[in-house]
Amino acid sequence: MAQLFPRSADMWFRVVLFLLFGGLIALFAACVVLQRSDYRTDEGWTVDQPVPFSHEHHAGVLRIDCRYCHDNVETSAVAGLPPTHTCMSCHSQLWTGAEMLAPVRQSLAQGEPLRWNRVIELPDYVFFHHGVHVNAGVGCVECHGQVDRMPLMYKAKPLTMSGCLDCHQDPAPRLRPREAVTDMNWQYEGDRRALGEALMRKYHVRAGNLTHCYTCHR
Amino acid sequence: MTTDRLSATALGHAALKATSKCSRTLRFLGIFRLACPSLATRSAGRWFGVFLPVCVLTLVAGCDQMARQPRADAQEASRFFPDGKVNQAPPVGTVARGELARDAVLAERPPLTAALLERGEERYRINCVPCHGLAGDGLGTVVQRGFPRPPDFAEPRLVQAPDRHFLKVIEHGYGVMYSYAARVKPADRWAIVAHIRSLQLARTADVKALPEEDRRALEARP
Repeated sequence: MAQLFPRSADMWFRVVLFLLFGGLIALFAACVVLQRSDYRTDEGWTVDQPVPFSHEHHAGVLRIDCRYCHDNVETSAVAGLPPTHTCMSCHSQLWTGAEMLAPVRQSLAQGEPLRWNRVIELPDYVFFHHGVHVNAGVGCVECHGQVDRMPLMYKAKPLTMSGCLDCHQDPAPRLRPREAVTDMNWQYEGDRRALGEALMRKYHVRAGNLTHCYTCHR
Repeated sequence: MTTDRLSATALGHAALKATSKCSRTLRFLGIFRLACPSLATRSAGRWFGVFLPVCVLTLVAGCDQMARQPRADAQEASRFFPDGKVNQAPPVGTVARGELARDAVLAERPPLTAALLERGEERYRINCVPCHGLAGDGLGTVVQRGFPRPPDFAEPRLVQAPDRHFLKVIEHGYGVMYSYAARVKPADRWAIVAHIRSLQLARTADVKALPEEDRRALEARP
């Protein structure tokens, strides 16, 4: 009786099997890589805004404190986008004819808020409180990066749960005195950990509670 | 360019959502088969009869958007309120809880303490420095970029001005200066006034009035 399968059948069988399993593994790996890539986390991608606001100019060159505009950050869950009134505190006098700022003037005249597009949006099941972090001595730069060097705003870190946990498991080396929270270039010569531990006592940060699920999820 | 990127991101998100749902279903299939092997092998018709609805249910469960819940978040757009904003202005003629107590602070000057001065300096650096400058001379960074120069706090007129004048200017603005009532709490306005007073003293006091040690430290500076 003639052979039912050609000599190469075994080889093809193995190749197909290999491709099937290899392909599945590759697909899984691709999903994992994609999920962690900046394509998915939006890290480093600028977002189109109605006005191309430059943090580099305002916070960097003019050295305006973050809290001039984000005035809720110490007391509220959200840092707060400033009302148009705040922009116009200066721009009623400066760049009054600039095309770029037309939406700002229009917003004030019509009482319609500017519709900024979110750069960082945490999932709704995460309850992040800006005030708590700022008052515990977490610098803006820890999560937002060097905002004073960003001509257009982008997400500086992936801000995934593992990033939150890194700090919640060991906050000490990432804390700074409250006075330095908005300082983008704050440096400390001494032992950051020792300072952080002292600050934790001072600001009543209890390390044990920080990794409980209900600290962030409710 | 960015719009293209955005739409590409949206497409990517959709594709990823689809794949994550698939993997969920696959995982579920595995668990299902492990749990009831007999069901899986007996007859294909029955297998599909049970499995298909479960599969569909799993997919539907995957549609639950826990990350984007239909709730009102601060400063976001609202489809519920006619003006389209989540943050609503309080109705005309109402007084917010605690507002009277907050404003009552303005009536009387708080005792001058180191804590008040410290708070005042911090708030001054946040809200006033861009125009009035660190020294209160009216040469802030924004003034250097063309904003009309505010008066020097060390002017005799302002040294002699009552505290109430500064409180009023912070609250209502003055000339080209906008109101800071929404940005500076009443208690902080007193703190800022205290800091302005200390700036005035620092810029008008006689060097000889300083204690010996401080004077030497000052003169040692270039």
